[in-house]
Amino acid sequence: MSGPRRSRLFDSLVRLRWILPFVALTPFFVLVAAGDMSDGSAESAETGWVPILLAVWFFILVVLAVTVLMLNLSGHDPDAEDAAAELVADPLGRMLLARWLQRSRHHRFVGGLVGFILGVGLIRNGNSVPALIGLMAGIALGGALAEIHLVRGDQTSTRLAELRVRRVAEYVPLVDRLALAAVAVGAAAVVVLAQIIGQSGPTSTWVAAALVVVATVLGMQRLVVQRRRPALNPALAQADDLLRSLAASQGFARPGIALSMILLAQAVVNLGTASATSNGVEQSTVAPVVQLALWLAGAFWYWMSRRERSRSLAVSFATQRQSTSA
Amino acid sequence: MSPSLTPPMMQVPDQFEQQRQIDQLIPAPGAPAKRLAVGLILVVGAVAITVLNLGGYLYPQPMADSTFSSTSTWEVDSAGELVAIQVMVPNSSSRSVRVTAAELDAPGLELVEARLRLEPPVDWNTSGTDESTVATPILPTAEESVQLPADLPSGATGYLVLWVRPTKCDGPSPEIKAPWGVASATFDFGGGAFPPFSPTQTIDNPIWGDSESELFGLVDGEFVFGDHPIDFACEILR
Repeated sequence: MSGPRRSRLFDSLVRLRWILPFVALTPFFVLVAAGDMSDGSAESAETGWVPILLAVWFFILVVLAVTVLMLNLSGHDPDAEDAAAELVADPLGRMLLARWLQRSRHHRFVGGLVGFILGVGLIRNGNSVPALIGLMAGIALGGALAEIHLVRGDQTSTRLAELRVRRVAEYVPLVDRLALAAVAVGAAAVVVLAQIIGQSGPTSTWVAAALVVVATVLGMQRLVVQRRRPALNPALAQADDLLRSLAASQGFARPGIALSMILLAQAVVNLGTASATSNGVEQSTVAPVVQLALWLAGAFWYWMSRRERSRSLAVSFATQRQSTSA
Repeated sequence: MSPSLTPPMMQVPDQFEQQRQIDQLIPAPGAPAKRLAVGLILVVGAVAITVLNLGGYLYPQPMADSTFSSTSTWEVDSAGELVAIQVMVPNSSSRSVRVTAAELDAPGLELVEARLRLEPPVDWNTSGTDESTVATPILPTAEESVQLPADLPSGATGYLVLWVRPTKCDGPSPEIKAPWGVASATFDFGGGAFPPFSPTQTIDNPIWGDSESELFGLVDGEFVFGDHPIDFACEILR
């Protein structure tokens, strides 16, 4: 296969990362299908072509999944430059943002995959919540780790530092700050409710986990916004400002918000179950409804952290900048 | 010569200079092969931890992913002072565990001693009965049960033998609701074994699981029945 054609194939495959969870479930479906056949028509299963087709299909899926996995683990990211071009016009700024987009996506993918696998190990009695929590925690942690780096100083020339004070509020969208505050308030409400009902234990653990996530996100936002920066030409400084804003929102904060909401959802449902058990009554529908709402909110915040949302974030950041300077 | 007041001319940075400026802000990406190797190491490590954890090698979890229930025959000891109730504890993990202690949450009954009785190992892969109702055999004699701490091999089914006595037998029957009488046990991997975790896990198999179900006991070779655990314990001790 020629170089460009192979490259296009790789580009297409790397975008298929969503296929991985489905492929992971394929053996289950194959086994179910094989079981059905052996129950219904054992003869056709033994002698027919269906098992061969299934085996071939399974083999193709495995090869596909391994290729997709390898490409994503190696950080192959064909869309980073186009995405960066949509965000800034300056060529140098584009290079900077493309590098960040690629780095952030790679860290988030590896983190999410590792978190999901570790979460699968905690699944009990078919309850897949640990896998989803592991996935989201991995994405958030990966996104945060992408921001922890030490750039080597330039030894050959005099370095000039920019001394402008950067405030977190200038970089983090208001809606993100409100969401973090809402989680903290919700966590406090659950703690108070647990004390009133006389139930703590696992509920407190879930609440504490949610609060740790909120505190970590706030700390990381500060670290990213106030990270030192050398004196740069204005266009590159502008691109770096946008990078910090994207990093402190969609990079790790929004997955962190999603994770804290999911943890809070678990605290709520735990509180509902514990309360019903201790009072010897049927569980009310309030806790499951709140749990569902928090899960949906978590899914929404994860969706808001995807690269496709970068453009609107960049627009709102630019608008905010203009209004501040005006 | 006086210094020039004209600012220096802006120069378009060359590719090296561009790279240098960007490198000051964010590290240059490593080679794809290096990133792939690091990613693979992390993923393989995660898979290994998951497999070990699911097999019960990292953390004692004998009852993970197994649903079970058992009904116990209540029996009286030779002195006529204690009642023995048995609670099923299967070890469906791939590693042998040790039961170090047991507790019983059954207000009205006092736990005097807990012992462990072993059944022959069960092949969980071929038995195909994750969900099973097992009628506990007749009370084991003292020789058949062992003192805690006691080993529970992988794949074996054990029974916690809980020797209890009612705290009060006179007066009105206390009002209780099923499920009632939940036991919990503490497990580890054995003395000095690694990792040294010793979690206490609830045995999801209450001694009175359903208010509709009848309790039955064996007294002097005769079966007796009851529908209130504390009253029943008092009755069979009389």
